[in-house]
Amino acid sequence: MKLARRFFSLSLATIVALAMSSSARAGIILNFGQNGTSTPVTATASGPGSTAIAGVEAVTIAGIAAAVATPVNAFLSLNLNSVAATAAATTIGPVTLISQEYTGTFSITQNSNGSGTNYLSGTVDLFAAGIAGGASLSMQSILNPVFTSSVIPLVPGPTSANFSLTGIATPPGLSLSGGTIAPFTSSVTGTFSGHAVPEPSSMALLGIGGVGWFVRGLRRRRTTVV
Amino acid sequence: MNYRRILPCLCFATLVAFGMSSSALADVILNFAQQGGGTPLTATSSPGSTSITGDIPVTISGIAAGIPVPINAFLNIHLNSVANTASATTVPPGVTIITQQFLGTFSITQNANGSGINYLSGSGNLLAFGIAGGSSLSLQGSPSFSSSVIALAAGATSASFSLTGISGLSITNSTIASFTSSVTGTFSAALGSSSAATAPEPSFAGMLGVGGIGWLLRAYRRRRTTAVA
Repeated sequence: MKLARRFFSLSLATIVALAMSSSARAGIILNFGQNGTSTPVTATASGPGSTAIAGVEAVTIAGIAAAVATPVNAFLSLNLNSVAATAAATTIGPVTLISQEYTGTFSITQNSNGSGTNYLSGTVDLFAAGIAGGASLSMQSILNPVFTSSVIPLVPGPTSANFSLTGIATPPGLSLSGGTIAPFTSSVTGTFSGHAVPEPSSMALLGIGGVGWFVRGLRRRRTTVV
Repeated sequence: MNYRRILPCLCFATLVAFGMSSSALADVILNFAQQGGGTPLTATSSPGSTSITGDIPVTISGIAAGIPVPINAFLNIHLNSVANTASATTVPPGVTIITQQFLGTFSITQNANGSGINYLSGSGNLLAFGIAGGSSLSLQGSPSFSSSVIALAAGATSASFSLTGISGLSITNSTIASFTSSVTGTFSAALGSSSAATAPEPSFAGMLGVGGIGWLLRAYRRRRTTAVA
């Protein structure tokens, strides 16, 4: 009987510790690559000194922190606008880095235009930077993006979004024009990190263990009574 | 009759001009994303230098080689920092960015350790930059490429890697501090005329073909009508 009590206490402590430690795992929550090799992301002048970056493109999700088999065919919808007076060209060592801040939204969904299963959507504040004259622009989150998903069990915690754009036509490549990043077209890949609760499989294992323990206790009690 | 002679000449000239103009356009040649949600890319720092390495399963979602996607492959990457290139610079809107130059190689191949089909390999300089304290690092550069499936031509190249999942990007001992991360990447280059990416779209080629057959039939009918008369 003492052994049973100890076993119970130990199990309970383990379950509580496990639940506490794994209730919000920081990690990669989604990686995607654009399907094909076109340049569907478009940067256009959206007014004096401002640039809009937008695109809807078929993508392949190669990794996702959800009970979904990969690769997954999906659509990326991206809508970003530059923040006024944030464009700059900074010389760092042998290169000049062009940078500008962008805010907006993105969604990675089952169907185009943000419809169907919401694999991951978010509101982002991004720092966009690339080598002047180069074919690439990288976008990293300045503030923690706010994510939503219908398949990833997200919980509050630090988040990040990172997009890689390339295929910008050279020359002139990435450049500033009129105090903002000049128009271009590009391809896109992306990777995101955040906090997700343990996978359903882990929870199921815990549940099965708990049920097994309960049944064992019930049997023992019945045997003792008889 | 003159008109019929002029038309083929004009068509031929148009096709040649089209072929020449599209034979060496810089284009996106490959996109990939890491499989799963781990952080298998490792940066290891020692005083003054950092090496970034990994041998990671990836999914190629786009490739200019006429191969069906997605393709399961491996990214093998070995980069070493260039001495005395790490710096922290504040740029608008008041963001401190950490930068460092890296030199090395990468390969995206059929099997691990760079073996099997060489989808795309490269070597050269990459500039790494990311927001201080942030969880991301970007690597950009113009390496030299090789591939056994993409018909590469001479011209400008571009490589862009996105790393995320870093627990606070920082500089320690004059170099980017150790971290682990995930990775995605996208590449562009000039393509040879035999590449699927620079070939005219099937629909466009089809329209040209249908037009050509129509023109031949028309000429054949006219000749038959003239012969009968």
